[in-house]
Order: sequence, then C-alpha cells, then structure tokens
Amino acid sequence: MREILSIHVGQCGNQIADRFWRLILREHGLTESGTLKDGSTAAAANTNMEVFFHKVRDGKYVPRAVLVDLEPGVIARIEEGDMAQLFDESSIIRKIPGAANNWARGYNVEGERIIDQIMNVIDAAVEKTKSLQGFLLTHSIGGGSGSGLGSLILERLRQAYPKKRIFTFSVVPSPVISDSAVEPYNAVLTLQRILDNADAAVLLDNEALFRIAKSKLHRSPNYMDLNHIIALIMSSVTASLRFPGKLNTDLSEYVTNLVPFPGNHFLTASFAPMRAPGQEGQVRINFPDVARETFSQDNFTAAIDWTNGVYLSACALFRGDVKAKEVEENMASIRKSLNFASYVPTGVKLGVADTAPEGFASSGLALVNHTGIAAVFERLISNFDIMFDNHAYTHWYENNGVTRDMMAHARNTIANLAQSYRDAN
Amino acid sequence: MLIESIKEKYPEFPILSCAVLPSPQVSSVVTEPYNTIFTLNTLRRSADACLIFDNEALFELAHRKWNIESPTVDDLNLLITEALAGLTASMRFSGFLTVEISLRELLTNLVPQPSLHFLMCAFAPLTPPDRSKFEEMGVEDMIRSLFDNGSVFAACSPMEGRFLSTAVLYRGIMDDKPLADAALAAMREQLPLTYWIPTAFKIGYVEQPGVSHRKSMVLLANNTEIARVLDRICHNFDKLWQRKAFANWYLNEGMSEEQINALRASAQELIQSYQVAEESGAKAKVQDSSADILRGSGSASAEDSRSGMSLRDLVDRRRA
Repeated sequence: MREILSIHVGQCGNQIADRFWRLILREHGLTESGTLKDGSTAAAANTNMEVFFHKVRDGKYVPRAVLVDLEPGVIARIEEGDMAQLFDESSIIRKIPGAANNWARGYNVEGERIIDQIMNVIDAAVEKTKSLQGFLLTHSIGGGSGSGLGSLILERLRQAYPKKRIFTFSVVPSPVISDSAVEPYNAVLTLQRILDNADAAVLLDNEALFRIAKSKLHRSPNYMDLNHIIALIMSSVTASLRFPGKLNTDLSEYVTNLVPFPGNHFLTASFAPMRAPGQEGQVRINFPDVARETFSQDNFTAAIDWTNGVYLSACALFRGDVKAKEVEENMASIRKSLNFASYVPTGVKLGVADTAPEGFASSGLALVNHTGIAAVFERLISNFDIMFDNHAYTHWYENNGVTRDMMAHARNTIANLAQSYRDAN
Repeated sequence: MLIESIKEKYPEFPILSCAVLPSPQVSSVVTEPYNTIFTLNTLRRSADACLIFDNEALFELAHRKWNIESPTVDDLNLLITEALAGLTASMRFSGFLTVEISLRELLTNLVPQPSLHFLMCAFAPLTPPDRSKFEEMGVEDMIRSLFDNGSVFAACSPMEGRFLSTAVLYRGIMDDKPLADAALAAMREQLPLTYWIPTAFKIGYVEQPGVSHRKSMVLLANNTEIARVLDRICHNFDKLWQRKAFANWYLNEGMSEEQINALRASAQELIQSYQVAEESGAKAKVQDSSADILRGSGSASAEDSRSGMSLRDLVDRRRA
C-alpha cells in the first residue's frame, strides 16, 4: 500500500498541518471528521486512501499523522476546531513549557524528556501500516521546537528506520522578516541534522511565500495564506502517490531523480496557478500558461540565486485536465530555457496525475534542485558568523548543553554544503 | 537576598526582576544611591534579566503626557503596571492570531550576553487614562511614540545609543496588523542597531486588548543608553561616598569599606560592558560572505586569531 506517515513539529509545523489536512480531506472526498462525504464513494474507490489514512471500524478515515509541539496553543486550536474528531488522540503530543526560540532547549532539555514518548507514538503509527514508504516532516528551522525537537526526531527516525525515506518541508528564516534573534543559530544547527538524516528537504522561505501570495492574491496575505501555499505544494508532491497517474509512484523515485550527489538534497518548489482560495477555478487558464508559471523564477518558494547557479535536476507534475502530449510539447521548450549543469544530460522528469487539487481545473508543480540554493545557506552563515564571533547569544546554547565547538562544527558543515553547491556549477 | 535564594532554589527557571530606580524628584530617602548600587550587584549576578523602571523618567512622563502637576507614586506605578500588563499579555493569553511568547523566549531574544541583561521599556499610547476612551492613536503614531527618546521609562535617549535587541508587543484589535508590520519594519531601518546582532527584532501580537486602551504597544529594549542611567546613580553614590556621608549606617551594620568599594566597582564594570557594546556595535559592517565563507569560523580558539577586534578583546583592552 506504500503508506506515508506525516510528522508535524512545532508551532509552524502544526499550522501547516492544519492547512495540509484540510486540503487532503477535500481531495479525497472526506469531511472534517474523516467520514466520506455523501456521493463521494466513487471518488474514494479511485484513490489510494491508504497512503495517508487508515480506516477504522466505523468507516472513518484517520490521518496517518503525528502532531508534536512544546507549546499548547496551535494544537489546542486544531483540537477545538472543526477537525476536532479527525486525529487520533494518542498521536497528539503537547508538552509545556516551550523551547523559548532556543534549539538547545528543543533538542536537549525539553526534547530529552519527551522523545521516547514521541518515538512510541511513531512506532505505533508505523505498526498500522503494511508497507511504509517513508515520512514527511513539517517544521520551521528558525524557532525552537520545530528546529531543536525536529532535529532530535530526525536523528531518532533515521536510527529506527534506516531504510525508510524521510522528506522534510522546512520553513527557513527569511532574509527580511526575522522572527527571533537567534534564528541563524537554530537554522544552521537544524540544517546539519537535515543534511545527515533526511533524504530530501524542500526549503520554504516565508519571505518568498509572502511575495508570491501578495502578487497573486492582490491583498495583504496572512500566515494562513502562506501555509496554504505550502499545503498545495505538499499535496502535489504526494499526488502521484495517491492518485492514478504516471511517474513518481513513491518517494524513492523522487530521491533517485532529484539528488545527483549525496547530501545535495535541498530542493525548492513552485506551484501554479496561484489563486486566492475560492477563486481557483474561476478563470480558465490554458496549459502553456500553467507550465510557464510553474517554472517562473518568481514563483519558487526559496530565495535562490538564479544568476550564479544551474539546475541539477527538476521534476514537474501536472494535475487535472491535461494531455500528455501537451505536457511534453510545452515542457520541451521550457526545458531549453532552463540553465542545466553541463553534465546533466536528461531533461525535466515529467509526471501527470488525473485529479487536480480541489477547485483547480489543472495545476502544475515543479520540484527542483538548483545550485543557487547555496545563497540561502550563505546568508544564514554570514549572520551566524557576525553573532558567533562576538559571543552574542551563545550563552543560551552553552547553558543548555550545546558547546561553541558543536555550533562551530554545524556552521562549518553547512558552509561546506554551500560550497559543494557552488562547486557543482 | 530574596532573588539570590530563589535562584538557588529554582536555578532552571528564568528570573526577570523589575527594578524601580530612585529619583530625587519622587523620594527623599537620602541613602537611595547606596542601596541601589548594592542591589545592582545582586541583579547582575542572580537575575536573568532586569527591567529598569526609572522614577526620574516616569515622573517626567506622568507630568508631561498625563498633565499631572506633581505626580504621586501611584501615578508612576500605574505607568509601570500598564507596561507589565502589556509585556506579560503574550504569556497569559492565547488566541487564533496571538503569538504566544514565554518569558524564557522573551529573554532568549533580549539578552545577547549574560552580562548585558538590563532592559528598558516604553509604552504607547501615553494618553491619560481618563481620556483613553476618547482619544485613540493610530498604529504608526504609536510606533513613533514608542521609539521616541521622550517616552522611554528610563531617563536616557535610546536613539542616541545603540539597540542590542528589541521586542515590540502589540495587543488589541488585529485589523491593522499588516500596517503595524510594515511600520515596524520601516522603524527598524531607522534604529541605531548593533551590527553584530543582525536579527534581534521580536514582534509579538495578542488579540486580547488591555483594560484602559483598545490598542496598545510595549517596547522592550536592550539599549546601551542604560549606561547613562546607571552612571547617574553612580554619580550620586560617589558624591555621598567621597565624604563618607551616611556611610556609618552601613559600616555599623557589618559592611566593610572594601566591600562597598567592590560593589561600586561592580556597577562600573556593568556600565563599561554596555559602553564597550556601544562602541563595538558601531563598527562598519564589513562582510564578504561568499568569498569568506569557508575560512572556518572553526573552534573557539581559531576565531580569536581573526583580523578585526572581537568584543572580548575590546573588553580586555578597556580593563587593562
């Protein structure tokens, strides 16, 4: 059945979960409490419900999801909202007090106390699967819980399930808006764990998401809008695993296609057409426009240095009312405009799935590995260095079991990663 | 004494002490400078952060903004409670858009080094409490007022000093949140920031409005101008201590002259570390990230050999 278990960590990770599961429920014709909507039995029969849900006795579908936070707020809102009946109670873990924006607290102090409980819940969820293909982890890497506790979960997941695929959807600190003073430290420490333990990481930058949302929604976007974009991307990445179609039938296939060198598994994504919720289907967009928007540089969700970099690999997935021939024709011309590394002979890996996201007639997703992602790491490291050299904020980490040597090691690992991307040009 | 024993008993919990500094305008206890300097040492060692409420500034604020001829201690305390209510709101309330910020999270953001933990605050709007129902301030005006030298709760000019870290906590109706975001981002550009702390600007939102204002804002800042406030207290201390005026009350109660001198020196050290931070923060931003990135920030020893003076070097130098 090739099931996927989603793990949502921290405030941001769970806000994404809220948007993501709403979208998935609608795509599979389910209500907010996990029962089939009237008349959607036919739709359900045509899909791989088992990938994201397990069916319980009374015909209810329960998401394969684990929700973890060190602050109660966001999860409490999910539990009190219209999806109150949806999640398995035992798969929701929340502990106070929070990680206080501090990776070291999430990883060491608070993490130590609950990691065994979390792993037990994950093991129990894995036991409900027949043939698990892997994990999706959503978190932000600038805060404390998603970054620190997320790192610890990644390490333990890798230990416990060495053969399973681990994908992260990681929200990185944005160049302009910063949420906390110690973001660069938290992000660099987390990136090191993602590098070591994940098979692929889709980097999402709030600043880029904000810019995309603002230009397409024609109003001032809020966090729900940004998380909705993330949810659309996650839904499309997994669409070919859930609906009949060609290509990328499991997570391993993505990894094979997208990761040319071990460790260079940091991706960025783009979703088109971007429309305000509720207005998706109102304008009929022809396919060439969808394809163009999908690969438009402005539409990608991380601050990539497009001018000093090349494509290492790319996947495109088109959903809904599209014809295979149309896709191939349009992508052939788009492929020519993309600046691929000279040693990568093949083109963009294409996929088509029948079912478009709710409300869309057709949609496109690009998942690319571009060496310009080095700019994201370099920016973080440059801020890291200024602070670290002046001993700014390092005492919060040293007091919680993270030495300066450990921080310097993480910093150098990520600097090497950035360099390896630059060298791949 | 109390702070010390709390810290001893609960070492893992953060302590934010809210210290009211004396002003001759408000009180007439003549030995205040002594007591303040002695307490400062404890706050340096045992508190995780110390929020300064300077009676001198509060008196001025109540006088000028609230139009009170001669403000009483009650008036000043009302100002303090407004600020405290605002800054703890994000710990007490939760809501759909509310950003919950624990005390520890606040301190993580505001204290860049253990020794630099003396904070100041400001509150907006400073409309007199009895007129708050009728006069409402726009978000942009509130932000301007927050960062105005004349409205900070400490007798100094933060805009002349250097911001080490900043937190703005906004509470009230959320309809103009994007406006507030934009205005805060614009304000940040104008602030004298510290180049080695590039990202310290925390923003909090709480939907639940305060009692006296529909919308309000609290600014918490770690600003090097705090040195000026401490300097004032030290100056008053020195005047007394040079003549050993009223010193017998302390010497007779078991304090030695050396002890008192050491406590005075401790206060001076604190002032110095803020002055050092102010100087080092002004250093021109020389950052050549892409070329420089692999040079290896490396281990703690490697970074000292680097060109350019680190903060620690500066501290050593001043002491020497």
